[in-house]
Amino acid sequence: MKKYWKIIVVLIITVITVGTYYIRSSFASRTVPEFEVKKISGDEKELQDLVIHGDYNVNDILYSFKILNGKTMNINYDSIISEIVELPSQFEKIMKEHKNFLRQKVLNPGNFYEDKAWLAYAEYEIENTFSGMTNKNEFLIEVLDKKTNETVAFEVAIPDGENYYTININDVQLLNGKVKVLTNNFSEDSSEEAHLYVFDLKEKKLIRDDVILKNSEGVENGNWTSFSINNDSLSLKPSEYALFLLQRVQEEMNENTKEVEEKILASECYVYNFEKEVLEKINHEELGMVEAASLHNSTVFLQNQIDNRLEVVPYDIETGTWREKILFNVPQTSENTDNDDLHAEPFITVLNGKIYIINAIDDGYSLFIGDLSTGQSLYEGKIVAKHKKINQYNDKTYFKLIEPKS
Amino acid sequence: MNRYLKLVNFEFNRFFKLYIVLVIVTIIMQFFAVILESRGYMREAKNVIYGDMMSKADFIKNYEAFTMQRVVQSNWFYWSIALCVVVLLIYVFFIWYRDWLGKNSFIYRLLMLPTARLNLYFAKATAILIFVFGLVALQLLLFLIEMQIMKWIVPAEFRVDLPIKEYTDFNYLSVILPGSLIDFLLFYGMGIVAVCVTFTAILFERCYRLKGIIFGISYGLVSVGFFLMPLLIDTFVLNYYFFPVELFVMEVIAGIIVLIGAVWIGNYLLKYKIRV
Repeated sequence: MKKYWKIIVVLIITVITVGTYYIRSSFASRTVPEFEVKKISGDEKELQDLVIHGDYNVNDILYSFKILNGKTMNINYDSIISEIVELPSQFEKIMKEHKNFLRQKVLNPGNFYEDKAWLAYAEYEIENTFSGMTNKNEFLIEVLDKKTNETVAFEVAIPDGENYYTININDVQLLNGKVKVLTNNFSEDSSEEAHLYVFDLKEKKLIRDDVILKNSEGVENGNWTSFSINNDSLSLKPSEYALFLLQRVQEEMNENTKEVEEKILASECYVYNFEKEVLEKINHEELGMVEAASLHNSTVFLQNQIDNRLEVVPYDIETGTWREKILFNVPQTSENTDNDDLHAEPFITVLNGKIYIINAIDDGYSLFIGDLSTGQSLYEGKIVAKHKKINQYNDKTYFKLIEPKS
Repeated sequence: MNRYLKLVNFEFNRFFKLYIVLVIVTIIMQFFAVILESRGYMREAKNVIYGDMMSKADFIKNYEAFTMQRVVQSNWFYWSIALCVVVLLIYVFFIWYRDWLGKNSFIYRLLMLPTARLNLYFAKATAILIFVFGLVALQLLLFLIEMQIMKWIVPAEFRVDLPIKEYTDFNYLSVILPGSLIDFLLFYGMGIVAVCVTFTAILFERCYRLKGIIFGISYGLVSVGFFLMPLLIDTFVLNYYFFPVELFVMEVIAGIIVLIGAVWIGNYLLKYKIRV
């Protein structure tokens, strides 16, 4: 034994050190605090199956976290295995039932459509040769009949494809044997178009290419038009409408904070009906500017912040009528506060007819869930950080997405 | 088994002196890094706070609080690790070639030992692994001491103390200390495969000399090619047919096959083809 002492010492030190390092670090010795939602009033059920995504930032390092059912989810951030296994939650069920359909596809919810009988997929493919010639510029359409397990797949060249340098697929719908693909087409001259491509499944070809909306105004002295299609892109489920929001935005330097701020100069809102293939403009002039808009079933919600209040105005597409506006208290970003934590903008999301507002308060974040059809508060709570390891001004928390766990 | 352990111990002791030197140099370089960075930061803080009349809070806001991150990213720290990596890489070759050096080549005696020659191969591989893991452990221990040194130099209000994990996650250190135990096993498992493939390539050279260099290199390329085959076929032939999980499993299996191949060929060469 005596002969071996050196090697034994090295081995013991190694096993103990490396072992402790990995065993201890698997027991939550992370920097990310555990967030917890504490109820103030309302129904605890509102938090069920609700995922709140956020980032936690210390010095230069950014960590992502998820809060599920009001508690920080225990995700293993560290292992590459989790990255390999990770799947967008919308696809978990499909992966089990129709695994082969998902092969060779971009698992992006916008590219998929799912109902009880069908699964549809659209992809934009562009391939350039080394000399810069385009040798492939087409749509790939694939539809699965869930009952017979038969797939129909075809490729169609994009009409005038050379005019666009990229195409973004926003939504896919399947209606009466026709696949309807809603896209954003970007041209070289920075103009942007919304298209609806209609494909016939039986004949396996493109039967229509409609330009729904065009935004040709470019950027001039910090002033541009933003163009967004807002139709619950996270969901694969059928939707009747798509929502378009055009905003003329002016970039301005705030003298007090020395930060660039965006000011909305003009806004236009449109609703597109997938079945009738018609575009309808929502006349909201008397409401003033629209900061954000969202769609739930056949109701559009227009948002606008006025001082410390958030105005939400519901518009019923089917009847073409406005409903009564709903007001929420959302303290606005104070411009001259010293506390960086409080500087964060409120995070507002509308989801399934409910509004979610997260706002920085002195000792954490407030979470408000409101029903948009009645304007009533469904839940009020506070997001607090437990086991916070760093008590410095160097850490910041941002919330970025709220979605239902599917 | 006993023979194998004796051989491991033998290989270990042969490199031990140099290993200790390597450890001491690493310690010196890393302490140097901590002291240099910490004092540099404090000097800057003093200059700005007293020179430009800035408050402590403003200084920290503008210049960021001090963390071990600065130390880890400094040159001295980086080179200390690079040095260890390079020395061990060289030793992967030297652990074989030293036996052929000198007038009475030592390999003659080793090969005459009344034990399977494959034990020699395993003993050398094990010794390399012990050296590597020893240095990994050293790094972890050094982190603890270095954090203490940093705390002596930089007062608490200028610091953000994060667990070691945070420094190993986001830069070159994540290669040495992967995030989780599974990753650790995967990374170093791959390392073991690489060491064995290199050993077998060396044995090719030792068996066939000049011609063996070509054999060795071709063997190495074939091994790498075989290991990457699932990925290459999926990308270029099947057009991304497999899901990441499936590819991962195939890669693990490919790695195990390459390892078995390396040991099997190494065994054959040692048994029948080796030249003294």
